[in-house]
Amino acid sequence: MPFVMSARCLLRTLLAFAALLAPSLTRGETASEATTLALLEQLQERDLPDVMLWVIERTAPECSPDTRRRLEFLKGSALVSQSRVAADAEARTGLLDEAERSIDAFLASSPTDDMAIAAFTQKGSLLVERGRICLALAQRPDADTAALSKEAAAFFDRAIKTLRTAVPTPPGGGKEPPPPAVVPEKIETAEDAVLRSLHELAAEIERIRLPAKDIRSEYEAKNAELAPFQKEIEKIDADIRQKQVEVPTIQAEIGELQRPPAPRSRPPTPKEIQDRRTRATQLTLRLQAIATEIAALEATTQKPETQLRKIANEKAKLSKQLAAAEKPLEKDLEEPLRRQEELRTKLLQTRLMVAEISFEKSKAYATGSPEWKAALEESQRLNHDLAEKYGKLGVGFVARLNEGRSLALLGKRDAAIATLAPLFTLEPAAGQPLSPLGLTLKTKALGIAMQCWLDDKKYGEVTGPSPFEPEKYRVNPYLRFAMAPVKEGRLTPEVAALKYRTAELLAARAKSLADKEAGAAKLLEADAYKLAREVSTANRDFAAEARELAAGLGRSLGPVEGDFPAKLADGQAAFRGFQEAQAAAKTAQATGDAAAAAERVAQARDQALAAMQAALALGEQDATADQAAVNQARSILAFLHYDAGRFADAAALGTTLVQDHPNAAASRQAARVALASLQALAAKPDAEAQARLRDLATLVIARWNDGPEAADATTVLVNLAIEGHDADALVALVEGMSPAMQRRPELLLRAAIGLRQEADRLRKSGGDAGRVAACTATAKRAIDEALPAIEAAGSLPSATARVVVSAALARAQMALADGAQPLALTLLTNPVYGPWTVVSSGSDPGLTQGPLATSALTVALSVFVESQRFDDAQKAMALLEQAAGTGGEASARLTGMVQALGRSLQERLDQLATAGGTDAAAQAAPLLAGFESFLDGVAKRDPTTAAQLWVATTYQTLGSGTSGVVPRAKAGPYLDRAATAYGRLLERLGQAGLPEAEAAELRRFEPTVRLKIASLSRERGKWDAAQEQIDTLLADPQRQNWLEAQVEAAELLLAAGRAAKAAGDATDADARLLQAAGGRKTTPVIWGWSGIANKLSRQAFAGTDPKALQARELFFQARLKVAEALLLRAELKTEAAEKAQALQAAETSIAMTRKLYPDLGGAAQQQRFEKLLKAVQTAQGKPAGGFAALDAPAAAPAP
Amino acid sequence: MHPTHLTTAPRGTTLIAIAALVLAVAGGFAARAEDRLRLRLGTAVAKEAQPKPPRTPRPPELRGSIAVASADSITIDTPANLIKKQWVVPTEDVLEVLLDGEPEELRSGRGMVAAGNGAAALEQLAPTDGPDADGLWDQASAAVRAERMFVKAAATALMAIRSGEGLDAALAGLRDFLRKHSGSHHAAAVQELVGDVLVRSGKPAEAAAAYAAIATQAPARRIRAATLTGRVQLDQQRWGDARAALEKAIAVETPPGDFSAALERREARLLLARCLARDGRATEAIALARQVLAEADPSDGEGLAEIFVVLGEAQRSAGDKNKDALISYLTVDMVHNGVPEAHAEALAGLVELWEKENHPERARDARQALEQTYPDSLWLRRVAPPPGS
Repeated sequence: MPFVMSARCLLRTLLAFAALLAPSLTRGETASEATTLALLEQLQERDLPDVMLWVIERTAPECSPDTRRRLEFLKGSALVSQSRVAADAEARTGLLDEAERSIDAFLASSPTDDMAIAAFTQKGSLLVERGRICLALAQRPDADTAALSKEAAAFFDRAIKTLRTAVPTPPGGGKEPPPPAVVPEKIETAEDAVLRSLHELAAEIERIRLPAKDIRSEYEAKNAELAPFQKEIEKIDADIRQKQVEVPTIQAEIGELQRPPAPRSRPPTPKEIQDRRTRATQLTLRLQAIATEIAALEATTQKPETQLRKIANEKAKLSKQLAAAEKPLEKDLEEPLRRQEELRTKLLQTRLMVAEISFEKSKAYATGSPEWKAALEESQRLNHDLAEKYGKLGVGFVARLNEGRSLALLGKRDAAIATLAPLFTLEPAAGQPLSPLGLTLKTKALGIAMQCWLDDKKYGEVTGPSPFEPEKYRVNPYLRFAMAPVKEGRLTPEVAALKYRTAELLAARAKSLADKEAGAAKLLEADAYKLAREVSTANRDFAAEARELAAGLGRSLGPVEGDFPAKLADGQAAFRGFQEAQAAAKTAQATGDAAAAAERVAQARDQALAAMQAALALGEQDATADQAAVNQARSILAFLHYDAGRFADAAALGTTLVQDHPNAAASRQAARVALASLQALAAKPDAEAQARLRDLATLVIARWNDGPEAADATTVLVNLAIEGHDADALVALVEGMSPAMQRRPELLLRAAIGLRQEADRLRKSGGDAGRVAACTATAKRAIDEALPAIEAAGSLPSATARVVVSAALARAQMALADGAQPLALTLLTNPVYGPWTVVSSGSDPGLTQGPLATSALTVALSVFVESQRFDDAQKAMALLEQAAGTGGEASARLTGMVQALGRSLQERLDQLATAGGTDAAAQAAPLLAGFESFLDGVAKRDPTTAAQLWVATTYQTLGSGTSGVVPRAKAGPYLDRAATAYGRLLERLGQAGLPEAEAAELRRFEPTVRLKIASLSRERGKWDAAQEQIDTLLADPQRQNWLEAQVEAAELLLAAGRAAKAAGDATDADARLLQAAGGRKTTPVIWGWSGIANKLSRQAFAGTDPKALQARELFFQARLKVAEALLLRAELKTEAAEKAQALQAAETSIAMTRKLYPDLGGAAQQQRFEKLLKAVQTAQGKPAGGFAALDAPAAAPAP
Repeated sequence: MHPTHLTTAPRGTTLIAIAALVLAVAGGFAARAEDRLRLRLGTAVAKEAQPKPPRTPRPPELRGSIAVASADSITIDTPANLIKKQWVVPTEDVLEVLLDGEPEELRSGRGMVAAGNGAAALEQLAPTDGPDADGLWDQASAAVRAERMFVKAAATALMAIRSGEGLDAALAGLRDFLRKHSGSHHAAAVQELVGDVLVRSGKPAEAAAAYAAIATQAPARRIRAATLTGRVQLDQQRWGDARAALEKAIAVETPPGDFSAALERREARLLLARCLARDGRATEAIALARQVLAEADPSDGEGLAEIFVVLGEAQRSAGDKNKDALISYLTVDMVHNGVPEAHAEALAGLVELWEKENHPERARDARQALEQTYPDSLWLRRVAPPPGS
């Protein structure tokens, strides 16, 4: 729609002018204020609205009330400018609303000077912008078009009210002239403000001119005398022009009627000949009548022209007299007159703007609707008034063009042509080129006229009358103007519009010609093609239409080597194609056509990549290219590279934008693409990519700290710090995180989880306690800040639920470590993020299984028991069993969980021991009492395997604890209770009617249970009970080679032997120790420590894998136990020689082991071996020299 | 010594003097057979000489014949003057002395010296030193020949200070001038240059002694001497000493209406603000600079440039007032950019601050402006290279 585009351009120009209306601001301020205002003016000129806003914000409080008032207006201007570069419509709207508030605040102070004019104009402009935004939003696919259009219309109405002083509708339906402008009492519009200034200025001018008042009055009276005559002549001229409009059409028709029939066509019938003659006669008569009328009209001009000349002569004389009288006043008048002229121009521009806003308003309505028509007619009327009143001024010309445009849109094409004729027939003065404004007006007017002729099929206006005459066609002034090549610069939109419309008209005319005029058609088509090619080559407005037109003419213009904007447009189109292919691929996945769709996506992406690369190459070469557009190309290209897996290219482009163009609209998105690309590269791993990733993430946070990209960058840095075990970096990230950071709670929690892990790692590796405490404290602070924010949100964010629950669990564990058990309970049971709540409710299926769920339940179980919440504890236990699942691995998983609970309990006891000091036992008492009650209750209530296993394992943990908080008197009974619980399992196995599944599970557990009973019985000195379990186990041929059972058997023999020795039963002791060292050959066979060492020797030294290392450790342990048994046996001997021999055997055993395996399994084992050796040496009566004595050279044999 | 002190005028007014000199030469006034004293605007003598100042302020002139010239004052007989027939003007109230019969090259050279460009000054004088100029100086008056000696010595000293080479020779030239023309109205300026050369030679103690010699009974001179001493100490990062010297300068008692002294005091206060800023006392520095700003004349663009550039440094040193500093530097760049040194400093500040405020494009623009406008400026060398270079 060329009419709309040209109108837009015009209005934009006017609005830009309005924005610059802010007058220079100097009126006796302090140096600081004057400088601030001057700086703001400069900043406005250089289009730095963001800096303007800083300056206003920082300096306003220190300024005087008057300056502050003016700053309010400048703030409004800055916000309007800022809105032009806002990222989206919503942001623009927000800024414009804020701007309106500022301008209103300024206007509330009732300004009367130039700033009032500027403020009202600015307000009108921003309301127009708001209306336009509504119209743009209405174009969106899912928009409420009707509501938005209504809103737009309301904004346009408000804009008009802000600019124009309401005038009462003239009586007589607008036919009477409007009343003269009245200077308003109160300034409420831009027009009011201008009129008031003009009024004041007029008074000043009158005062200066007082000495020449009389002669001026006379002069003005003469001028007034002149006006009616001028008007009369203008009216006659208009009538003549109106009559002339008909002439070319009549001439063309006469020509058509007089043309002889074509040679091959059917000869006309006599009636037809007669009709043609009659019609030709009628037309000729009409032509004569018009000529007569014009002649008559011309005659009527004589009288007024005579009068006009007479008055003009008198006026000229008076003018000279006036000039002479005013000559001395010239200097004083110079500035007021200049200012008056300026204000008059402003007034007209304001009125022109009002007319244009009515035109804009028409776009808020459906084409052809009554409202649309009313708005256009209002615009046409206002422009008509301006054109009539100021026809000789630039404003009048522009108004005439706008009027013609509205008439054309209203379908009043004849009237439009008549209105526009003075513009499209504009010719330069002899020897002078047409002024730029004149040229623009002529081009636009002819473009509109061309469209009208095309719509009315009045091709003859351009191509000449029928029959077609090439000579006449060639000299048609409109055609010549349209065909003239553009010498300098690019095709402007209006020139492109004119050329394209002309090409359309020529093509249409060619099509309308009969076959016999094929030559003429060819000529017309050739010119149409020439114009289309010109428009297409410029590759701006109408380029696509021109290509289509050429195709319609049977010719192809082919692709055009475009400039950056064109290439960017191609790239954007290709990118849209890629996005559509992606959307289609998603649908295709559902229909099972995924592979082909993916292929199409890849193709579309490659096309988009190629197109965008071509665009960027041009953009980077072109120094004048719009940098925002170049950066947009970079951003899209970065995304396409990323999608194509070309991470290095994507990262490079994105990094460039972050580093060099952070304020480009596309840079934030590009930052995320670059981060993702570098993450992909760093995953390989690639140290350089990792360093670049860290640098970029740091830069992104430095650039922006409030957007999603900063949150992404922080996530990257947290992950890098966790991977690199960099606790200091994590602390720095937590401490330095901006309060405005998006997803701050989540990021704090991520960092806190990492910090706690690091603190644990440091603690376990014996790191600096102060550092551990500092890390823990930071982690606590971070979690304590973040969790309330999560709770306040009311629900767990699904994407980060795992992080939140992990952090809450970590915090609960830290609370337990601090002895703050109530806090731990509160955290675990928090309704939003509590680990117990989340896991037990099953609200998030992903969190009811796996290590996090197990840990949460384990900790919860412990805390519930401690809090005497046994029902919840039982529930936790059941959930843990459930979490272990079913099937072959379930038993192992459950055992693992039970052991984890044991460890957790042990840790808790250790924590109490550490935190409680001397009072630790007292502090642990409620915990132990809680567990006793809970476990005894479970043991009684629930005879199932799982429950009894819990009871047994937990009692075993409590009984074998080393923390010291479990009293010795209680430890033994705990072990007994464990053994009893295990025994109940064996009893249950023998019960009839047991469900098969449980029976099978119990059978699986039986060997382990027996081994546990053996171990517990051994610890409690119940040798026979232990031996019974071992014998039962080893009697089973399938269990004879079970290493753990053999180890337990050897341990039992050694322990029992030692006990018998202590009890003074030497025989029993010797027998048991002999078997402990050398094994038992009778069934069931026991390997003894020597046998165990032999069985392990090959595996122990087969490699360095964990299994081999474990075997190696047991091997040396077995060798040590052999020597220990030998020593104990030697100590039983009463005969000196036997004793010496036995001790020698013990020493030899150690020496041999050391000789064969010098490292003895490591430093710890070496110490044990040496300690034992020293005991042997002492028993031998030798100095306890340890290994050194073995290494000493043997005494030389006596000669 | 700062080049603009050569004519005893502050930096801003010196530039006006240069412009006026160019206009005067172009207008053919130099051909008149009379000496001229261009007076510093705002001083008591200027007000007396020009009771009704024109709409656009212009330094007034006294035309006539210089009767007596000393280091402290110039006495000029003005037979055509309607107000007084003889004037005694303190040298610190004189912007420039234009001597009868001095060649245009000499005036241009003096202008270049005032602008701190020693090389250009010598270039201006070069044609009068060639073989074609034989006898030119022989015919000149003793005052003109002394003027030539001053321009040459000062220009040589400025070049030496800039390059760090030929300092001894420069010093010798300056001392030679002082020995031969101890009563010249340029004596204080040359003494200041001697101090500057000594500072550049790494002899701050000797420089301080040279500066001290500037001090006479005139308050402006005493303020100036103390200020220069403070400046040397400031460069040496002796904050306490510098502060004491500058406070001493500020404390010098001045009679009401002594405009020259007021200007010198303002410079001392601004230097004190810099000193406080560098000593980590940003709040005090900002307060002082703001106080100076509150007392400033809104029409004194050059003075305001000096004030805002100091305010910028003070705000920058606070660490958390980068935006305030940016505004101050932008004020110098966009509004009061008539003082090259201040403008270059402001541009350098903008380069760094825009980078810190995440506007690398604007930082690039500021760097480009600095490179193009002040290619030889020390400030250009001080700014960090562009990221990625």
